[in-house]
Amino acid sequence: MIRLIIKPLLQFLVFLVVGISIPMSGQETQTYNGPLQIGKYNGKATYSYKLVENDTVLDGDFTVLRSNLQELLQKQDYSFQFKGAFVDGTANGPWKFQFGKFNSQSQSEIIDYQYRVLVSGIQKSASGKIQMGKPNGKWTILEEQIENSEISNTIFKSVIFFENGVPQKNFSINNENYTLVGRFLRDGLAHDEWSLFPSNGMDQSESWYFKDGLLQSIRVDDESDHKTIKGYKGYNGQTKIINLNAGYINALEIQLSQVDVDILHHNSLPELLKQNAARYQEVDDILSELGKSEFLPEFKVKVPYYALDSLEVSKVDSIVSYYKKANELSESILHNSQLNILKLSDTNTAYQYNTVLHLKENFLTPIQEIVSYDSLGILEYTSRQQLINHVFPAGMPKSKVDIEMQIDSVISSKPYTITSNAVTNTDNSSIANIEAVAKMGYDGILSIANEVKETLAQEKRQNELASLEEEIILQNDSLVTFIEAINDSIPLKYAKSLHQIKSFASTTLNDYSKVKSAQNRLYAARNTVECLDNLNDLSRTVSQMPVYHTAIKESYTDRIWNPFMATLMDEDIKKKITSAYSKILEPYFLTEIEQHISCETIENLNNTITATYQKVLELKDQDTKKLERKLKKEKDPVTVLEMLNVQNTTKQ
Amino acid sequence: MKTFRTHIVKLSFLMLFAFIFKGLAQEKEAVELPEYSKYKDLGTKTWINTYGNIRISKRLFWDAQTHLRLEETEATPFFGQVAQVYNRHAIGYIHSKYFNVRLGGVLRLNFNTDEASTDRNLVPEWRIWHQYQFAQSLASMMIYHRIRIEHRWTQSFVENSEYIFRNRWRYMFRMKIPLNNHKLKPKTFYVAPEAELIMQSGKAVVASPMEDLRLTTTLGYILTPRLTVAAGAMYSQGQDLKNGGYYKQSWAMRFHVYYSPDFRKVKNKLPEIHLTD
Repeated sequence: MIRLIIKPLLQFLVFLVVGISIPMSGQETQTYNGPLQIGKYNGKATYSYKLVENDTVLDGDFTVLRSNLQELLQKQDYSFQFKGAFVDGTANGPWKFQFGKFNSQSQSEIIDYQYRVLVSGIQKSASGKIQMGKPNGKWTILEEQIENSEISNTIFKSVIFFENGVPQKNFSINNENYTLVGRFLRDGLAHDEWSLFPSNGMDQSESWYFKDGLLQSIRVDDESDHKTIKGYKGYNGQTKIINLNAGYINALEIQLSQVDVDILHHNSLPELLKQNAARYQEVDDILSELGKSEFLPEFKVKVPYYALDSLEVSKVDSIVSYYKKANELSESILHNSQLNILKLSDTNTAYQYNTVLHLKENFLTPIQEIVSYDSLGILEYTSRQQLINHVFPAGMPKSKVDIEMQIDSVISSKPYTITSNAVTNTDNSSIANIEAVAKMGYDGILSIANEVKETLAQEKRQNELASLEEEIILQNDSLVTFIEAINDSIPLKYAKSLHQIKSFASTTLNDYSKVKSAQNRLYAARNTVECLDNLNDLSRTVSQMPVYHTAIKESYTDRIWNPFMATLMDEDIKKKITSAYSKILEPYFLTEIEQHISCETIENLNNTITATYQKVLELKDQDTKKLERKLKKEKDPVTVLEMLNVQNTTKQ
Repeated sequence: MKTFRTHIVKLSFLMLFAFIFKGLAQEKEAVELPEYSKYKDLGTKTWINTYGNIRISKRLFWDAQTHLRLEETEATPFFGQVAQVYNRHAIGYIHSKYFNVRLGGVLRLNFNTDEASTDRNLVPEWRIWHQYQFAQSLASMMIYHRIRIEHRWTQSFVENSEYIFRNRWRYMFRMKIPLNNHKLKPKTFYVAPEAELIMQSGKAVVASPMEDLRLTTTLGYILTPRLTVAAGAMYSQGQDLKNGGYYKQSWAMRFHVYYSPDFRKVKNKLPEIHLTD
């Protein structure tokens, strides 16, 4: 209730301040009342602004809202209301953001002579103070389930204190499953105990102990037992301040034992922070659309920092590159249906296949982990030794292995040695050794890929041929269907050309069916698909030619005032051009189709027809005196095309 | 409309001048009317007319007509001798599809067709004319009402004869009926029946106010929107100026060419030809 009274008071104050500052600054503040689109939000806005170098800069009170009773009653309504103030284009002052998604089920009550429609749905809100674009003071973010206009459940709630954008003092975040409470130092670093409780009170709870941002330990409390997991306690080296996010948790897990990792709630702490960040992002998106904004809470922690030198950085890059190439190759081999079938009966293929499987497990999978750490940017937050221990728990893989095969229940084994100039050596740096493993993995897979290449290529060809033949049938069917559908409705001269296109298509198909050799067949199939594709295009163009004809005729008709009759009469203008089209070019195109069609010329012919049509339309409004004079004597279609400046390649 | 009003004012002034300078009617011997009206011998004529309407601007055009009129001689019917050469010009104003006006002058050269006469062979005749034409469409045909008023100064072939002034009041009703099309458009034959009554007034007009009644039918062909040809036959009769009891009558073959070129630049005329439709 107190807030309710304070809010108008604050608004009044803001109004006063804005009201006084306008005449003082001498700049004209104007008020806007009307529709406004902010990102995906489209509503009715009321705000003050001033013009600075022709830019609209928000200054003063700001409100934008939307709700639609009609939509609410019919289906569902998305309502929102953003209320606050700006100073020189930057958000400043108390702000409230509210988003709702409601439906009504058409229930209503009459209270105090007012209809009240009961709504159900989700209401999200964020409220607090902003100081020059940054959160300041207490910010509360809520997501509530509303049923019949009453809050039935709190889905998400976060309360954080800020000072000039930096989280301070205490905070609490809870979703339906967990509650997280904790504390920050003045510089925003996590400090002291952060507790994570389950909402049901049954599961284990965790307490994360930070000291000056550095995680000391995690205490896990179960109903009966408790366990302490060591964090970075006792670390005295270089540290770096980073955001507490999923990357941080990953970096932490590198140095924990698998048992400890399994004990911890999987990422429930960063998940809560992520949910929280997403909500702050929503508000930031809105504020950024309107002006300057830095509305993102950053939860800072410290991590040990083991910097990579430039040589190591380039090695990491080559690890990533080896991994990508090797992974692609291994996937194509392991998922190749041909090889999968062949390996059941052929010893050699089984050997090749299982070698790739082995290389993937022992080389690629650990390297993949390194690659993922690199993409998260956390490679520098762990000591090299911890990294190696974590990624290769059983030690570095060897270049010489025994590959087991099983064919017809007979198990056999054969040694395999990776041919690679890369070797791991204890004298080398850890990163250099990891790079060597990555290269060995890649070299191994590459050599097998080369061996199975022919098998793969053949498979690929067959697949391509199958899909091409499918395409040939589809293209031919669509051509025949199209031509038959319009055959009766099109004038005879065009129908004749279409008929020729149809029979040419069937000749082309026939020719293709006679191709015997596998190699030639693929080539022929590709050409046939292209040819049929072009025939389809051409048939569509021919079907349009009557339309072209009338369009040109209509376009080249002027309405002329005849004073003797006192009537408007149609006059054909630039007859030389229209008759060049209808008497020379169009018959030429049709004859070309009927007599000279070949797969090589279809595309050009089609392009020439459409280009000619476009060109003739364009010429109507151009000065064509000279051209008309030249066209007068010309009867040769190819020369006419040249005169019209249409690229004609059909004869070449 | 302002232009139109100015024209009317100018015309009134001209008419005023005409009255002031008009020569006094000369004493003549008494004319005796016959007991019954009498028709003179039927004459035969040939009229060859060209009509040009040359667009000057969106609404103005130059009306340029030249007519060659032939008459029978004793030896040759219809075109034995040249009777008149007309030069009729005007500036026209297209008010709308259905109404236009024009104002201009005529110089007519009258040849002495009386083979026995020893008087002058050629005298000029001057006219100021203005015309108001209404057009309307009815089914597939067009109907025209034409009011033409002429102020005319003529003299006889007698040496040193003075000009006499008369006004002519002409009303013409004409139809153009397309024959092979549902409307008047290029490549259309049409038939045009017309009836024109020409009345006259002036000091010299005592008992012969009906100068001419012309009944014509022509067959025309629209070649293009800008060129039409037509040919027809006309019967006409009217009172003799000297003696209202006598009626002249004649048959005429008429040949017409109608042309309406437009020399304006394409970019000037494109948006304008549609007028107000």
